[in-house]
Amino acid sequence: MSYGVIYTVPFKSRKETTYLVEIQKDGYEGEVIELTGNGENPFSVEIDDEEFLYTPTRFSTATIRIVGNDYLQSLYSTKYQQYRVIFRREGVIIWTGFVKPELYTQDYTSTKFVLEIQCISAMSTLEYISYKKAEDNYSFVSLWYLIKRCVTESRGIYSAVYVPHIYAKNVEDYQKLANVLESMTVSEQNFFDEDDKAMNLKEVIEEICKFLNWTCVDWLGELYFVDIDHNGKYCKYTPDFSSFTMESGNSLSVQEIQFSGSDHTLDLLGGYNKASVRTSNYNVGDIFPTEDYSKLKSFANPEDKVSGNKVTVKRFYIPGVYKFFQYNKNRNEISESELASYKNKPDEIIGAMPIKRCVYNMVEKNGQWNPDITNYNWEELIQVRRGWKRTDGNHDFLSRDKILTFASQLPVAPYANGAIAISCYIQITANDDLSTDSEKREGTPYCQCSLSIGNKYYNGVSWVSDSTARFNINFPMSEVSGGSFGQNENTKTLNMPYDGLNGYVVELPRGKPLLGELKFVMYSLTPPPGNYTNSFAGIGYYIKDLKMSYKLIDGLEDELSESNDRYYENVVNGEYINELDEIKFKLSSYNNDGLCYGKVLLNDDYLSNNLYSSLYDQLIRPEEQLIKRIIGQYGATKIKLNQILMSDARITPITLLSDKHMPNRKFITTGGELDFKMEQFNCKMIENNGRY
Amino acid sequence: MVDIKSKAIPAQPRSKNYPTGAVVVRGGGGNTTVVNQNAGSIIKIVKSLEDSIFTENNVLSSLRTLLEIRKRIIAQTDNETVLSDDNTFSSLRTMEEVNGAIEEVLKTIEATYLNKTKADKASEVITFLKGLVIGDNTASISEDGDAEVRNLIARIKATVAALEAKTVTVSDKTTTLNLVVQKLAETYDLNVSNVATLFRTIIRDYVSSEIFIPGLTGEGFKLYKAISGDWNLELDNLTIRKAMTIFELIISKVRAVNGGLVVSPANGRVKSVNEDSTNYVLGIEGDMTFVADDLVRCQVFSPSGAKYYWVRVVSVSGDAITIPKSEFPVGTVPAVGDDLVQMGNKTNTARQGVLYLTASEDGKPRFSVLDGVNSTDMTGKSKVVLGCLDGITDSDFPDDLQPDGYGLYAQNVFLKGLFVLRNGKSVEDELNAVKTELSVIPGQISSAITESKSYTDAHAAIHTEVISSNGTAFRNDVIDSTLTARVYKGNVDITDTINQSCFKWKRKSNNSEKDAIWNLKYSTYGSNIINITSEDVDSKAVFSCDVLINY
Repeated sequence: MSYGVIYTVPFKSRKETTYLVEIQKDGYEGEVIELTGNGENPFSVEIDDEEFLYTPTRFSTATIRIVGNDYLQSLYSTKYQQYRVIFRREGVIIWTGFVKPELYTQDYTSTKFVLEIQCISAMSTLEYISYKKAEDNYSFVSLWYLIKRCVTESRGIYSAVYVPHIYAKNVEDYQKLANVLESMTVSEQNFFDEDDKAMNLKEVIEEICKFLNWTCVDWLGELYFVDIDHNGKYCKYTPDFSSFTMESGNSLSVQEIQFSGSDHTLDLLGGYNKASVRTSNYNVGDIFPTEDYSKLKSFANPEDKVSGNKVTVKRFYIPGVYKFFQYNKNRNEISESELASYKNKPDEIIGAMPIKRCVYNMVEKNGQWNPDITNYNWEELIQVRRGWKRTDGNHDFLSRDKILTFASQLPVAPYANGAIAISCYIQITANDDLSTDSEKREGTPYCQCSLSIGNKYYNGVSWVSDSTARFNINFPMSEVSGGSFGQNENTKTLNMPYDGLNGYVVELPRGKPLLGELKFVMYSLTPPPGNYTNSFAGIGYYIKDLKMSYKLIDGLEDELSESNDRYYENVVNGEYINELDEIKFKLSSYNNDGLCYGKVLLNDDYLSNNLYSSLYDQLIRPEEQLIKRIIGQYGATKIKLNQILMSDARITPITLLSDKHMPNRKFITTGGELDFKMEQFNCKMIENNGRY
Repeated sequence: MVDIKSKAIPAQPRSKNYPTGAVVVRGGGGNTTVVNQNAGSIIKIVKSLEDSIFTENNVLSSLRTLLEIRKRIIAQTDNETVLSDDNTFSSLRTMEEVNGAIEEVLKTIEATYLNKTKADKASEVITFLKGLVIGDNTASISEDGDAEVRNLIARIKATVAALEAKTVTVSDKTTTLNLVVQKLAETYDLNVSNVATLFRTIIRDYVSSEIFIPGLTGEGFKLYKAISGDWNLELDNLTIRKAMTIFELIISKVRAVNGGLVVSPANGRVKSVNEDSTNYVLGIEGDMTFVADDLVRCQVFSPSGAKYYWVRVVSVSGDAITIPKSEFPVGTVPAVGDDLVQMGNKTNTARQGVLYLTASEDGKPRFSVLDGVNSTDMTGKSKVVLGCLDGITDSDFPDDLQPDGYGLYAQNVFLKGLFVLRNGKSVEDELNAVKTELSVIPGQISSAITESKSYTDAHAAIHTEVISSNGTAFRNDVIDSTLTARVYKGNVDITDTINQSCFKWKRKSNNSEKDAIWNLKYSTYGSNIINITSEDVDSKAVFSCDVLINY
């Protein structure tokens, strides 16, 4: 879909500079209507003038003022990028934005009126765009990818994008101009909350800027990522980010620019008592969901089975958390529609099904037979039929066939410094109708499992790249009394620092994490080696209390639980009264925080205090760096000037301004209003204590 | 220096629907479960039957609490739970334990003190300071030691200082040693370490060799009286030189199998044969043990000729099995009386094992274990052979060491205990000997290397190198270079050990006359270093250095 011009508003400034406002409509093809601009101020741009220097974004708004008696209700839009506004000076685009959606007001009494159309910058429309996954499933994405995507999705026409050259993996990379943002990655799940509601892209770009201590500013047709403390060079990227040149910020004095009015003001901005950064870690919590049988939908309620005075009642359900695999007699997986044909004979389903089971006895009292229970004591189980019949030599039993996995994607996160445990009980039956008995089982049947994180697979000993790697979970049934449930082997040893874990323990790497989606598949129970008689693994078996759990390694610093955020604070200047509002990072560095979505990785390892910053010429943690920067900027009172300057293309967000009446003080622009008719810039500038 | 403080605080979920500190567990399709709705630390409720570890962050449900308490109460009938500081007895059990303890105390008291109401024994000396009265003054011992009894019997010997008696009676007497032995033998076991010559011997129970095991495979002998009162004799051989009178002769049979014996999941004898155009339906005597896909084999040698077929059962119905005619060899038909043995199954791996025992089939008695028999092709199915291995060929072994003689041929062998080799040594002893021999080898090698190195060092070649400080090619007649001769013995620079007078420089160019003059001048130059300038070179010259040494 492309934009077509529907309206134009041409005008000339008092210096006879030609300006043109183009209002484009998404998908429009037709004649162009020229509208008349308000003679005093047909188009102006206002830049966000937030006083806090480390505000993550400083986007602009614009106002188009049209004189006439036309009704332009068609400009009322409900779509955030329906009407694009392009503003040109002498043919060069110096502002891109969109007509603000769901807003339209006009005079309804006069026949002639001034219609004001409110516009927002292209980058501001990111507020209305929800983050979408890069692929079908969650994955890790780089900060560079996110920046490029935000700029692209804004559909703005920017002639250049400035990115400060301040961070690198190390000094060598810094000198090579390596783009560290390409190596900084984060899980996409960080951008979806617990209810799977996505962040909007404006929040995404804000979080990136906060993490990097930058401010994103759209400025006269260019996009700047401003690092107010950075005295060095910026990478000036082409709009498609394919190449860049190195540029430095300039210095100007207001006297050099010249004044365009006299309404100047001076404010004193106080420093702060304390600064704090809170990292919203977004802990993964329990990695593995558990099946809540009370919420499952019914699949079938077969008739009760009576054997002697024993009654077995079963209820079959449609799984929720798990995906179970079912097969026909020839071990071919069956579809959901084929499964429906088993509703009247669910016990014949080969493969796994969630069931509730109640076994009770009938007792005789006064000549009448009654159940020995008054309420159903349901056991919540997974029923697995391995084969058709014990004497059936024509069909093989399930052995290394899948029986279950998780239905939904498990957390995509950096996994390290912990362990995963798998535990369950099984009850084996060698009866064709899967009824249980009190026969004692022998041997150690086992089931194979596969567990992977990203492209690493656990083979029972270590994490390898072989995608066929599996491991065996043993069930020593000879230690179980007849007919009872037997638990899988507990492989946890005293040397494993995971207090509370039991079952089959899979240790995650210590230090460098494994990245990506966690996947788990359990295969059918298999007789022990050398014992192929089916009674060892049964015609079928029941799984009870299947539980997978994750545990952070014991003894990490601070003894963190799995539901903590990290809080960094420091005094800025104890003589001041006001504390700076808590700054919340949804992207953050790793500080022994456990398994979280919000942690940024650097070259596939945690980014902690190991990011090289040319500002301090050392490796540093971004949160601590921000507090240090704030201490540098807000340890003393600042001066804010509001001056009416001539509009000057040399002024950019990375320009250092000075005033000869304010010796030894440097300022940066922090917003203001650009009046193009009058060629005037109502410039708001705040003293910058950082660089000099 | 800015020292930034950091600490962990309760997490704020990203969604505003949950309070600070709540742990939200994601389910499928956007479903969530809130583990902890309250701010602060996480409190998880451990349910009654949940398998969970107790931590500082969970609490027990009421039911679980009751169960946990109950688990720590040792019931009256519970004899398995180990007593510890973490469990307690139930009321009934407490009563039982107290009663038991009291009984133990009473037993101790009984063992310590003499009982007044029951017969009792004292394990130590008891001193009655005031004397002892027995019965109603029937007998007594006074505190002075005077005893008064009705009768006194000394079974072995009575020693008295003085004997005053009204009547002395001697009831028996022992006069010789033989009679003493005779008396003793009546009372005790008699062990004779050499030869016992018995004049007469009456056996009331049995006479036996030191070890006796009854039966065909037993050993030793025994003449004994059975419970019925019959006397039995069992031994290896019996030779009767003269007559032998036998009232009844019973000869025990030992059963044997002629030919080979197959042990497999099923067998049967054909009792009827029916057929249609494509199949034989064979009725089987007795229990049906065949299943579909079984491979059944019949192999009979009779005077009328050999019959052999090994065919697949396609189905089993009642007491009959169905076999396609196409399975049989041409000209072979099943018949009533055929003995069928299941040897393998086409699909069911549990029925593909066969044990085969033969003593005389080909003069090579052996026991074979086969597995994976899923067709009539036996290649690779023989897993173990025990017995005569002659004729077995296996490319895993060298041609001159193919299996033969009597032994074990198997995929794996696990032996416990002693493994003795032909030379009479155990494997462990042999390996230790080899290990000892191997341990000497590194020293021998090291010694050989040292000797070799010493020889090489002593006989290293001597060579000379000439190095030019300014390259070897010069342009525009601008020549200024220092030539240095170095002498090496092997890799060792020995230049400094050589007298400088031994270095004799030479030049060779197109002008032999000038060369001779130059060579004469520098033959006694007396240094391994020489400077070459334009004067030394006309157009082209080659410089060399002879070193005359005696090494």
